Amino acid sequence: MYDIVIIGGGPAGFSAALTAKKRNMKACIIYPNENGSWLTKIKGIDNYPGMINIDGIEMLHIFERQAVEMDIEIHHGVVQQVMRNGETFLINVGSDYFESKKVIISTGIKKPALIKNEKDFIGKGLSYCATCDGMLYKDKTIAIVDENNDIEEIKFLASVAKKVFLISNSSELKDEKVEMIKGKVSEIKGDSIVRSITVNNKDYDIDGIFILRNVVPTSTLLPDLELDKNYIAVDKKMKTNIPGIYAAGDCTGEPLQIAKAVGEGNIAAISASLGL
Amino acid sequence: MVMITKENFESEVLKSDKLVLVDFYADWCGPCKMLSPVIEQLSLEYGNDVKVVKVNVDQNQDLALSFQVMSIPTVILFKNGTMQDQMVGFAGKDYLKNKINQYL
Repeated sequence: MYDIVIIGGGPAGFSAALTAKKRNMKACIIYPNENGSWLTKIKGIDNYPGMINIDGIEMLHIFERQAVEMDIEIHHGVVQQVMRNGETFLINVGSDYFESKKVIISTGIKKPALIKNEKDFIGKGLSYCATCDGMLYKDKTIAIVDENNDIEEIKFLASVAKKVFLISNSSELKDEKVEMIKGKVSEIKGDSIVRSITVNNKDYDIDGIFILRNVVPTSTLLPDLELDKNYIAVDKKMKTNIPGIYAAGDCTGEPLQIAKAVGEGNIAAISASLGL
Repeated sequence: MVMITKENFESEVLKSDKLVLVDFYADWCGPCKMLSPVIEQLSLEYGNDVKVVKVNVDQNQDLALSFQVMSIPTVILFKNGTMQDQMVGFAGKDYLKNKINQYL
């Protein structure tokens, strides 16, 4: 059981993790192996005190190194869902889960581009979790939409399924069961369950589709979370409408600045640690 | 908690005179592990009113297939031999209780 679980490995998340650590909380920070923070894309930052004309990726490495040196628990993975369970929260990451008293969301603003009809088929042949549902597709034909280059998950699915259509612009897998398709899925079709997908104007019959991506829409992560336009609604203490859930950084709104994210992460961790 | 297989599905689930909650799960599935303690609490709380059973989908793929279980955990409620409701993914205890109460 954790006191605080922090979701997202950007400036807000690391700031929250440092503060939680300094306050003797049992805390951990969870973010994908390939850190999707916007920071990785920014060059020559010169409005953050103490670091002179630094690239975002380098700044992120410094944050990470500091966290490791301070013995902060880091887990790599994509958080699929956060659910209330009585007085605590359960946080699902692939085939594992964490239980925590409080949760800080610092997942940034990256939003997934959903495929047409995607939401209609969740649990009806569409899955986001290879390790969870892969075995249910033993000897079946599946499609894998690869958005995060997770070759291990792809290999696992290929080892289970009879035939795989791998829709990817980066990953390659040499396997006679796997047919590579470069392009984008424009539509998922079916009735009560998934039947086919359309890629490059061509239909492919499938029994199931796995979408492997680093970003989970907030509405899927925590369906009851109140939003203000596209951002998570918070008060000055970084509390959301759900008691025990806090948010910090770009996901709470503009200005989308590192200094603001770091400040909010600090406040969120202080607020969350009160009473624990 | 009774473990259901192809062999005892009919006698334990379809022919039961109670409302039956079937939890389709697997050992390697994170959300299933999350749901497991919730299912156990429900079993204790409802006692004799609801029969709570589990299906390991790894060992019973045919059963999972016949109810179109394509994501786990999936919880299915049966009454008088017919499926009443199907819930996919981890659902909190209150949500499941609401569903159960609808069919009691």
